[in-house]
Amino acid sequence: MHRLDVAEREGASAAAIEEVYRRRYIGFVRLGYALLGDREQARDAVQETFATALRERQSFRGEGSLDGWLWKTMLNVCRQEQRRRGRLSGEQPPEQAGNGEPSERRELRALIATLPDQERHAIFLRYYADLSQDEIAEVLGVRPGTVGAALNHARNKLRVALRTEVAR
Amino acid sequence: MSDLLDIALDDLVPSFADEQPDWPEVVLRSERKRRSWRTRHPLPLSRRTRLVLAVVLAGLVLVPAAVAVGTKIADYFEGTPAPPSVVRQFSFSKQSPDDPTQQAIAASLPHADASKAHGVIQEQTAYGPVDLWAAPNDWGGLCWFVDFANDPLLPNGMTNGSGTCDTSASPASNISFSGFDWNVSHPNLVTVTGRVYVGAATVQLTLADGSTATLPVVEGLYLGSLDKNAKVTQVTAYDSAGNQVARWTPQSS
Repeated sequence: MHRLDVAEREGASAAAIEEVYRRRYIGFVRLGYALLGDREQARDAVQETFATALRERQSFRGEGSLDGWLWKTMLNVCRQEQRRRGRLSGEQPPEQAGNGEPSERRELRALIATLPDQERHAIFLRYYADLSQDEIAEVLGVRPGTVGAALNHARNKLRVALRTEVAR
Repeated sequence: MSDLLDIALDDLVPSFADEQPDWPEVVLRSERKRRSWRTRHPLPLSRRTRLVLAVVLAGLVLVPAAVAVGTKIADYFEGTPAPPSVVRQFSFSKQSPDDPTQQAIAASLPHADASKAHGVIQEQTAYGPVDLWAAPNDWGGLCWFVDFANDPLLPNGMTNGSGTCDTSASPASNISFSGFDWNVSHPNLVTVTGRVYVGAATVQLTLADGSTATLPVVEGLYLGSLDKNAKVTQVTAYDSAGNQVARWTPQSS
């Protein structure tokens, strides 16, 4: 992970946060889409993540990387949105309601939704945020070995499901 | 991405390849939340001050430390046409987002005339030249932007820097002041900049340790670099005859 030079006692600087935003913007939007299933909500989650980070930047203690802190914030913002959505209706996200989507994709999406949170988030952070195993471990607050196991479990489950789907 | 699963997973989420970041909206959103939190304890900010805070293009205000770094101003710099990376930065806030809310926000902010972006002040620092660029905006004010000449461009072709805009509205103070830190690329410096709204030739920064730094005012703007631990306690503007014409004191001082 690109470790940014940010003094612990000062929190993160606005310039450092902006640098991550510009460098990793697409990854954040893709992660938002994977978690929320909607383009607009994904974009909004990214904006909210960085606005929150900017506002709360003094709370960044430099114990981990700034990137990791921002990915964590993104996950929290998306979780809040998912909870809000669940309270409102419990409905599927707008773009994942199945209208016109190929059945294989729907199946895969449904299967991913059944994965435990840790496995699902590990998959999303690996594929859409393009994070390494160590970086994912930092974001999820677990050991790298745990991430490796979670990714393997998730991949194996999804591969089996894909083979089954292809064989039909 | 090698096997069927990798391809299927990649296919599940759009590439968003054409997606454009909108940092000014992030800054505005952050500031709006800060202001809404402050509604029970409002700070006596003028309209201009609020606008300057809201429209910061990249960094937020920070006021720091002890000894002014020696500065040397290059007098040939004023009027230099802005390079494409700086023009892009000035054009950035004018890009029209898809979201109607963002469009409304963008429409409520000044937009720089990037075609008129030009150099105003260049100052030598330990990290090489730091440049102040400016362009008029459609609210009758100025947008100005600071970057380091030797810094690499960001992946999107923009320059890494900080800036702000004002409007033609009457200022609450005849001096505006912003400080930007550069923790990532230039960790020992804080850049201070601002505008003087009355005729002035210099501004004098008074620091917490009692030392002072005098900076030239060009096109109403000033630029200085301070040690990261410096704390500015007062900014005083003088005309060419040495008469004091304006003074600004941070609220926390």
